[in-house]
Amino acid sequence: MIARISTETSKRVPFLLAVCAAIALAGGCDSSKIEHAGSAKAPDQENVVSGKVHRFTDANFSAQVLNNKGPVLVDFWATWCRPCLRLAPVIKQLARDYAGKVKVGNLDVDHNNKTATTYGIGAIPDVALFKNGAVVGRLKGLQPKSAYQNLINKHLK
Amino acid sequence: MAEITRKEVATMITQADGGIPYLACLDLSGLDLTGLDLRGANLTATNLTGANLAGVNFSENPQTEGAAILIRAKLAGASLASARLVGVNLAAADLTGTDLSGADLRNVNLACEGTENAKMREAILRDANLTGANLTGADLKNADFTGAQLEDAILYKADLTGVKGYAAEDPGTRTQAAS
Repeated sequence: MIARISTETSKRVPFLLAVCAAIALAGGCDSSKIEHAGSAKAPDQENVVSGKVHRFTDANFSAQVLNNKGPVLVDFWATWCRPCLRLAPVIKQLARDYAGKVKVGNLDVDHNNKTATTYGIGAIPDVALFKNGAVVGRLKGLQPKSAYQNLINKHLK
Repeated sequence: MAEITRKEVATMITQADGGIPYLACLDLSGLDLTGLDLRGANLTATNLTGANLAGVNFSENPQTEGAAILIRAKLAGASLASARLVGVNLAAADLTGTDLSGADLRNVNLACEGTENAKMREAILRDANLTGANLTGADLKNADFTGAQLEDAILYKADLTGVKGYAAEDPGTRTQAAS
C-alpha cells in the first residue's frame, strides 16, 4: 500500500481541526476529564458498579471511606487497564464474601485524580485497605484472590 | 524540573507487578529514563520535555495486553532515538523538535500532534496513523511510510529524501501546507 496525501484536503480540514482540537483540549491533569481515546473498553464496569461494589469518588471519599466505622477495601482502577478489568470479578466476589464486615468499592483514578494523587497511585490496580481513616494494608499490581483475603482477614481480627 | 526522580519512576514500574505503571500528568521533564521498561505504561499528559528516552520500549506489554498511552504527552526536545513505540497512542502529543531518529513507530497513532521540526530520520512508520499530523520541517530522510495514513498531513519543508512507501500523487501537495 502506498501512502498518499489527499488532494481534497481543504474539504476535510475544518473537520480534522475540530477533531484535533477536541483531543487536545480533552481533560487536564487537575481535572476529572482525562480521556483515553482508543483505550480498552470496560465490559465489566457496569456490573461492578451495579453490584455490591461501591463507587468512590473525590467527592464522597471522606464520607464513604475515611469516616467509615469499619474497614474499607478500595480498588484504584481505570477503564483502559486490562489487569484492572481482570481483577473486577475478584473485587465483586470479595464484596459478597465480606458483606456486613468490610465495605468494598472502587475509584476510577482518571476521574478522581485528587484522591489518586493523595495516595500516590503509581500503578494500577492498587488495592488499599482503610481502617479508621488510614491505610493499614496495600496490594499493588494484580494479585491472586487469596492475597486480598489474607489482607482483609489480618485486619478483621 | 521533574517532580520525581528516575529512581522513583523505576520503583513505580517495579511495583506495578502485573498491573500498569500510572505516570499520567507527572512532571518527568529532563529525566534520564533510558533502560526503563515503559511497555504499556500510561503517560497521558505527562511532561517529558527534554527527557532522555532513547531506546526505551513503549510497545505492548504481553502481560497487560496494551501498548503505552502517550496522549497529550509533552515530548518537545526529548530524545526517543531508536525507541520502540509500536502501537503507541501519541494523539495530540507535542513532538516539537523531538528526536525520533530510527524509532520504531509501527501502527502508532500520531494523528493531530505537533511534530514540527521532529527528527524522524530512518524512523519506521509502517501502518502509522498520521492523519492531520503537522510534520512541517521534519527530517524524514529514509523513513518508512509503508501503509501509513497520511491524509491531510502537513509535510511543508519536510525532508522526504529516500522515504519508502510514499508517493505524492500531486506534486503540489507534497511540500505544501494543508491549510
